[in-house]
Amino acid sequence: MTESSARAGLFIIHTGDGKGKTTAALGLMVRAWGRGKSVKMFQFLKHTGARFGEHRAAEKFGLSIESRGDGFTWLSKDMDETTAIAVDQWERCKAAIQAGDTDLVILDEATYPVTYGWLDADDVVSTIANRPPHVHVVVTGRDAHEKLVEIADVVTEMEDIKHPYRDQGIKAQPGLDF
Amino acid sequence: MPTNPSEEFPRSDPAVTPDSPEQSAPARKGMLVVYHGDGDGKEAATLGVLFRAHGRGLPVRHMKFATPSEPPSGDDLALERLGISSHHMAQEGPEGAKGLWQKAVRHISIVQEGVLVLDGLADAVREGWLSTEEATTVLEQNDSLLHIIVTGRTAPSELIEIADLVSNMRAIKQRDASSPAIVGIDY
Repeated sequence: MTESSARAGLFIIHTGDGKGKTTAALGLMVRAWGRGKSVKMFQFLKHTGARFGEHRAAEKFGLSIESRGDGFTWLSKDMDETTAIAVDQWERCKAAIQAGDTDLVILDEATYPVTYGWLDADDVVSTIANRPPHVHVVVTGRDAHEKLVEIADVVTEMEDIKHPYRDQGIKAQPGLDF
Repeated sequence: MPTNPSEEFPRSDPAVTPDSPEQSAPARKGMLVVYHGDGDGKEAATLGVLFRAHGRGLPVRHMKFATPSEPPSGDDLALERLGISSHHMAQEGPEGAKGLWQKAVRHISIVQEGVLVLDGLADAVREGWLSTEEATTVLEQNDSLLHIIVTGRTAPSELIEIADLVSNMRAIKQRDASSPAIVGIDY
């Protein structure tokens, strides 16, 4: 495992119906942070100001996780507002990616706003494709758009083999799921 | 203490709607989670779970069924920076695996909540360093609130059988085998 001088930032996608997509992205964030890299996570859909375990830990250790969403997106009655929130969040992501001062930028649950057409897929793709060469980008969410998959370096599908909510009716567990 | 809806239940997963059974289902339970497969993200996911639980102030412990890497991996450095205790095998092979497993058994019997990560346990079992039956018996008997996360490339079917949650990390796209591993991303 040697460091290459030609090393360039990776574009990684965590997709699929199984659990572990956001969780693994959080792990990448923590791993990079452990190496002293600068990291930022932007969450789509999740409630603005959500206080899940990851937000509490991030606050404690000075990591940046910004959530912007109404949290009930697929039930939203006001799609204009839901779209506006996503667009606003994307502008922040874009600025962070293009600024080049963050080594790892994570766009959590970003596949949905692209799939639903709230964001312009071509804009997202070209922003990621044309990012500063050292910047790593991670996108999570189900059903990653084929244009995103096409430009990705690494795509992992979290395949749902057993899911406790579906199979046993077990509730999401604090500290484990959020 | 009042909680907002997002705090009570995260609605980040479109598969989960208010009609889903989890709304009526009772209570918390210690889950047995298995992350396996040939794709990236298994160890990263364990780190993510530890980070979350640590953020909630729950007791967390990391155990890796491998000898310590020298120099320390990014995960070792991150865990240290987070103040999370991490244990490795003292030596390669069955003796080392059994020693670490005894630590895990003790942890499971004493600590009744939080998260215990058993990274690579599935592979240690497949290697024959530990018997499948010994591992599954202990894991299955855990009836506390402690969540146990097991990883490995291929989990034995007996383990899948008793798990509450199994995700298979499948590599859809990978870099060339010749590409160098990247510090802070891969390790």
